[in-house]
Amino acid sequence: MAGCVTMVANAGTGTDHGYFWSLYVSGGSASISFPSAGTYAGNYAITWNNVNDVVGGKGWSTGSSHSIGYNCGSISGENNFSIYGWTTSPLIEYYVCEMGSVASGSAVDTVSSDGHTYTFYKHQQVNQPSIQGTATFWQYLDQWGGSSTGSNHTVTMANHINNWKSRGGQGFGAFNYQILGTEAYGGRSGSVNATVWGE
Amino acid sequence: MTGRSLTGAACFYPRSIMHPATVSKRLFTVLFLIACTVAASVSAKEPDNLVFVEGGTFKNTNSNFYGKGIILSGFYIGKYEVTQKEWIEVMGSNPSKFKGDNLPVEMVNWYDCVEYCNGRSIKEGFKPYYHIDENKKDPNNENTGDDIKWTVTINAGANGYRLPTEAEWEYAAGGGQMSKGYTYSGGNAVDEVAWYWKNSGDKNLTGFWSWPVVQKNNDKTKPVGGKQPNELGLYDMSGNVREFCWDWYGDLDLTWRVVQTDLQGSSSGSLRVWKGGGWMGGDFCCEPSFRAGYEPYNQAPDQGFRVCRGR
Repeated sequence: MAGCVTMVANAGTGTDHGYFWSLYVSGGSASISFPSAGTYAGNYAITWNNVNDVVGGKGWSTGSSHSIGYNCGSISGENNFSIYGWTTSPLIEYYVCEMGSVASGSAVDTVSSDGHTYTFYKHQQVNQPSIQGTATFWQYLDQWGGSSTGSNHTVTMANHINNWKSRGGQGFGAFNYQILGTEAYGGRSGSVNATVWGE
Repeated sequence: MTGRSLTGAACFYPRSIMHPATVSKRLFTVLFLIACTVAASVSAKEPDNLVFVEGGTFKNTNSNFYGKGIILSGFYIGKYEVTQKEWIEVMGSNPSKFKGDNLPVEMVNWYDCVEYCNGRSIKEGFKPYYHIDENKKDPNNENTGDDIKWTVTINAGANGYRLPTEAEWEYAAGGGQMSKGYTYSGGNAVDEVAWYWKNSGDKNLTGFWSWPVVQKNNDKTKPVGGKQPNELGLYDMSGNVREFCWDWYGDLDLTWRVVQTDLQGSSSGSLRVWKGGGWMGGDFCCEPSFRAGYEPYNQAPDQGFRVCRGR
């Protein structure tokens, strides 16, 4: 079966070829499609124009400490391209940043994984929206940013999670969703075509 | 011969045949007295918008408290979350973000809720349940960010309005003695029983939670009672607004040692327990067994409460 092309303007969420997807945009315009999902189920493509903020991607409704594979065919005009997810009890929001930057808050230490080194940052969100409603919670932000397009990469989540558990100081809870996502803001225009899979 | 009506009043039935008009008049009088007695007895037993929850052991196998030797006494609990109309009647102003008489009140912190309970008790002639000492910092409050830290204790023998304990909340939400073992309060299909992030806005949402998506969809509180009730006739225990409980949020120590009656939670902590989930968060928060804590001094558009009362 050929890839399904679903054009969605502005905000949208759904399921495509077994993967959850979501797209949000404020200001400007954006759309998402799944051009190669018939062959590579985790494929998605997003384009955006003059956006205040765009966030979108594909992933799993319940994450795990599995290794995540991805291939980013092309990307431009992004602020970050990351593995992104949540845990509950305790409530933790986490990023593993492969391209661009999510660095915020205070640096804790570094973690080596998959042939390169990330800096682990911690940042507290105070009385902010979360998957549990309004809460004060910590973000774990592992910053690398040195990935490349056109080849397969792996994120060994266990390395990040073990470091968060031992050095994060806030614990690590039960997995909620986990996605490969792209974010852009500040009036940018751009696009991404990427595929995610579990290893 | 004489007989007795349901009111216990003696009625005299003469042997002679009465005029039909007299019969009608006496029949009407008797029926009217019966109706008044029944109405009076019903209103004394069923306060407005409170449901009596029969006590006992936990029946819902999904509950954290099931099979742990916990017994609860019976109690009244609000059929609905406290509404903005009910809040204004006691407190005089409305802090809620989303305004509407029949919407649940929100943007209230835990201290506001215990104040409301006492205020409503005084208004309705009940002895206030809480003693609130605003001048004494609570030594059991471990929250370093809390500038309020009122010491709130329980007045022995008081029958006034109060917050549910976590155990009472979970017992009532799970259907009490009438429990059918549902996943959510009132059913297994979350959309039929709860307002949460996927169904509380302009369009039904799918996929994974994202605050920008939720916000753009205009998710918000809904009028109370709009979804299916649970086995006890309680509404919105799953979803709409999260509901404060009395207890500090801490580990549940439910090792079976001995039967415990009317369990209360940790004696100290930083956060107060909330239960039931709300319009902003995930469906998993709407399961009665889900538990989390929120700062007692904070308020949010998805944080409210419902009341309990003794007999």
